[in-house]
Amino acid sequence: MIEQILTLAGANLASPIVLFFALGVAAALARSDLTVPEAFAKGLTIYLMLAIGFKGGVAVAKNGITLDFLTVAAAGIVLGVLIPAIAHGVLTRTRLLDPLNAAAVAAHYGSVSIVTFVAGTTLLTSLGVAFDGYMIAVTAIMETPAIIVGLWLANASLKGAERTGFSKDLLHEVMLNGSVVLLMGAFLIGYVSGEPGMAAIGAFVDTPFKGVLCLFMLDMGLLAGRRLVTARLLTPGLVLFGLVMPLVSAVLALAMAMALALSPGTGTLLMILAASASYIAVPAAMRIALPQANPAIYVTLSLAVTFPFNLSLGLPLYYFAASNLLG
Amino acid sequence: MTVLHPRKRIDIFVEMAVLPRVEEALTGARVTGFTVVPCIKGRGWNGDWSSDEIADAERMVMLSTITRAETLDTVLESLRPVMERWRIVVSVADVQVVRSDKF
Repeated sequence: MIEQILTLAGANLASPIVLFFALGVAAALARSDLTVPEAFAKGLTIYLMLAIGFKGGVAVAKNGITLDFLTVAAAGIVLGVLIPAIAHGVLTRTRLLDPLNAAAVAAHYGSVSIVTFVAGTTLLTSLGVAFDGYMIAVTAIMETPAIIVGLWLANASLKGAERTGFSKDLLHEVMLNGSVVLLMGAFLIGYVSGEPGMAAIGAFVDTPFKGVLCLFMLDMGLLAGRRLVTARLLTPGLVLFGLVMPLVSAVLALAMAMALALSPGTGTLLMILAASASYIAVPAAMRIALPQANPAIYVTLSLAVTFPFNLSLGLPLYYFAASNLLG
Repeated sequence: MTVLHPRKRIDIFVEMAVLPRVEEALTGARVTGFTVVPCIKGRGWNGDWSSDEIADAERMVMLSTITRAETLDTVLESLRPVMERWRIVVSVADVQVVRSDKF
């Protein structure tokens, strides 16, 4: 069993995607002047969201929208409520953080990282493991519930005037942030255009995908590395939380995947979504709704601790567990 | 010789996520013109920041507007709730403009 895990982890660590991420981290730690131009990095994100959304839509078009999709989406929402509640409880009871920062961190861990999801689908594809295309839509659905729970937890520790509501513009920021709009838009376009659509633009969304993901991971590595260089507020306890919390969330997701009798591929993706922590949509929401919370804690923990852990060791571990316990 | 007219320039450093609040406050104070420019990097309450953050919301911008001295208090009062809730930097400078009818 250990040998199997090590083989999987070794293959994952030797993949160009992980190695380019490591190069970015190393360059940032060495304070190299290597940068990925901002507009170019944005272009890479747009391409990745378009490609992954489109491919998911085409996959769903083949089988139609099934009851499975609805049950997995419901499971995703439950995870989005449970995980922040657990994270908040751990962070406050161990006194790692004050209740307000704990609520902000909890919201991040209950929400999802689309990039981790993309890396997970790439790993599964390289292993020849099938998964359901509707997981793209589940990803988008899982972004929001944790933000609501996080704000509710924060309000419990705030006095009257400081409390924050789920205002119209916050809702706008969360529901209509660029990544979600493009991901879901491309998903719908893929669903409507189906196989003929894939035949028309398959060469664009498929062939360059891994290369573009490598470039994007280089940028992610640089961003994560820069965060580490200035991570003065991350205590050893918080780092440990950033490494253990994804495992706890993945176990919860695995239990749900077993209850729903999901396939190993789809189950792995649900675990990845549960284990991942947001660093795009939730920070934006927290900036608006919880300005008292410190982004140097919540973004750094999510981007510089949990994301690298999931990318390097988490993904193969989740697949190993799912492939042995599901299907 | 060109005649110059005294005015007040208000510079506001703010994160993209909070910019709409600042714009609303300025609109509430009947400010009709402003310019927003991106910032590259800096250091503040939360340590170092840089424009190449992954999320747009974290990017820092500077909003600049020029107003008459008599309306300065109205603008600053309108900005007060934003200043009290979010971390923004507001500064006021004396400037001179060429075209008085524009400001």
